[in-house]
Amino acid sequence: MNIKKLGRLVTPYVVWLSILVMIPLVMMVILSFFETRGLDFTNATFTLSNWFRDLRDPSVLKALENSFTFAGITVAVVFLIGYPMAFILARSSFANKMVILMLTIIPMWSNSLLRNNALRNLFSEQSFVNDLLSKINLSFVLDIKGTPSAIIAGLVLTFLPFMILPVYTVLEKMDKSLIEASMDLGASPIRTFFKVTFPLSLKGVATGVIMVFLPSFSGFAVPYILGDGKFILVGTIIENSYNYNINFVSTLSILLVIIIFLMIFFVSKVDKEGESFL
Amino acid sequence: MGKKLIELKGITKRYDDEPVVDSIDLYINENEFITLLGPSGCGKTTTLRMIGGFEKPDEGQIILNGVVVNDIPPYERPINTVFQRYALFPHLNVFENIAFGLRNQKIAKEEIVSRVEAALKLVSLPNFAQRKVALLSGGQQQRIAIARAIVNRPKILLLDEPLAALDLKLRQNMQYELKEMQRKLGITFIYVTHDQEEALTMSDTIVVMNKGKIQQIGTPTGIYNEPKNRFVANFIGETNIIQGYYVHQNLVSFMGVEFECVDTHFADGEKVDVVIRPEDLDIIEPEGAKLAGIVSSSVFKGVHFELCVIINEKEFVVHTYENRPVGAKVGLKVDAYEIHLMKVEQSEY
Repeated sequence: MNIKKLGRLVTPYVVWLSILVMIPLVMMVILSFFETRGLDFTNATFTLSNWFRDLRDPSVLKALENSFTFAGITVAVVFLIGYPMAFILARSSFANKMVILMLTIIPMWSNSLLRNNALRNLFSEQSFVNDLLSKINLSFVLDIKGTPSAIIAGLVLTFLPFMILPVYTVLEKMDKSLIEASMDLGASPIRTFFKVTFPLSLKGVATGVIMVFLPSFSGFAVPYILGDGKFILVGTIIENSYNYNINFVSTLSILLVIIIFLMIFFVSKVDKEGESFL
Repeated sequence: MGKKLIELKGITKRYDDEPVVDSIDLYINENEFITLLGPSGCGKTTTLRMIGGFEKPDEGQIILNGVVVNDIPPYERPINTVFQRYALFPHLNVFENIAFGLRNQKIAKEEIVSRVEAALKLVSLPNFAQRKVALLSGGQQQRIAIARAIVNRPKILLLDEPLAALDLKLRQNMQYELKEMQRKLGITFIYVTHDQEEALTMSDTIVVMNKGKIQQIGTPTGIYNEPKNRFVANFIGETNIIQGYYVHQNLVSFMGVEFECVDTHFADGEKVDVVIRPEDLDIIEPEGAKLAGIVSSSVFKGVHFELCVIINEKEFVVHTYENRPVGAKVGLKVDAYEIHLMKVEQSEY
């Protein structure tokens, strides 16, 4: 392959990346160290208060704590549901694995606002399910709207495919002779799972954890709709402050980027060939 | 040779109603090096996998030390396997790979360490304990895979074409090492290969298989010198097969000429297949030779020349140390004890 040719092919991507990713990021970093009126720099003054005063505001700290908690619980629940699903799917001899995989993905294709508003309805006393059931004198009440459980349920339903897909891919690609080798060497199926299958699937788990944690940590639509707006999260603060304090919003956003990078760095360190987990 | 260790009785395995192993009967002695030899798809690997417990036979019994083991899972059989592509655990280092089987048996730490070290020494890779398996060469991975299996001191070691991925020189060295190892350890080796040279070099007993059936069981020399049928004759080394008939005691006729032979067990006038190995044909002067023809090709093979001699439109392959030019007229001579006769089969291959 001619490197020069390849180099030229890369150019549009580099331009694209700099315009749409790097420049906005740099802008946010700059904004976070100033006090401006919107994007108008005419009376801008340099300040560190965004970083060292506003971030320490109790409401911001509470929001960070909430975001971490919700995202953490979501990751745990998604893992507990998603891993077994991916495992069963990868091991099964269904002819139509793809169909089943599609069934988990298809909900992602519907608009998430619509989906979460439907959930919100389902989680209230006057849900459409209850409505229908009451016609035949049954009742189904799952009145958890506005509670943490509703938010977790919404996040789990939204991000479950992000755990299933990478774990499934890793399990499916795994060399089956490794499983046989383990059994051959006297390990029972359960021991084989914990000694071979699971350690070797950690790459997929790590990908899944990042892909579920990040959007649940920074997102705001799901908690806002299902939590009745009762919980402040990092996402909600950004949303609320966007119109009057773009400097603080930039600071929070940069903080999120830093947290995200730290997580990816940490996971990739820990996951090096999956062996350090043992 | 020791006593009977494992026995297969009427073993049949079908995939989609298609028998891949077809009512096989076989017994294997203690301390034996036995090779299942055959072309790909002949059922040899499936047979091995049934002995290892990875497949269940549809019919028949696998009897290990007098106990039927059909339903015993692989992790409870005193059998270990060296897999074709080694199947080393990529998340464990060399030491942990070899110790894997021992850890499953709840063996004391000190003993694990000493046994792993002994196993590494046996495969001539001491000091490799802390290496990562991904960084080992093919030959080294091969040795680790063998160490990982034998460290458990199995009664039987199954080897599924373990040398297939190695280059020629390494493969030849490993053949001798494996044979030596088997002698030292006194473990029964069941070896699967499609490489006839490998089988001849290492085995005490060779089982030639084709289309799910056993064609012949015998010692390497027995199988090479006295193939039972055309398939075995063709599969084990190059060979010339000529149709002929048995004239009477110690006399066989083929190519319109009568030859003395040593095989008996045939009726007078019975049709037979005559097998002559290329190295058993000698080039002589065409005058007065029983077989005379024209050299149609000559290929240098290193140690010998491979000549193709056409006699009455029938090709003979001859291995000789002295080259003859293409187009030359030559005579062929064969000694009585080098003519092997086979019964003609109903179904020709």
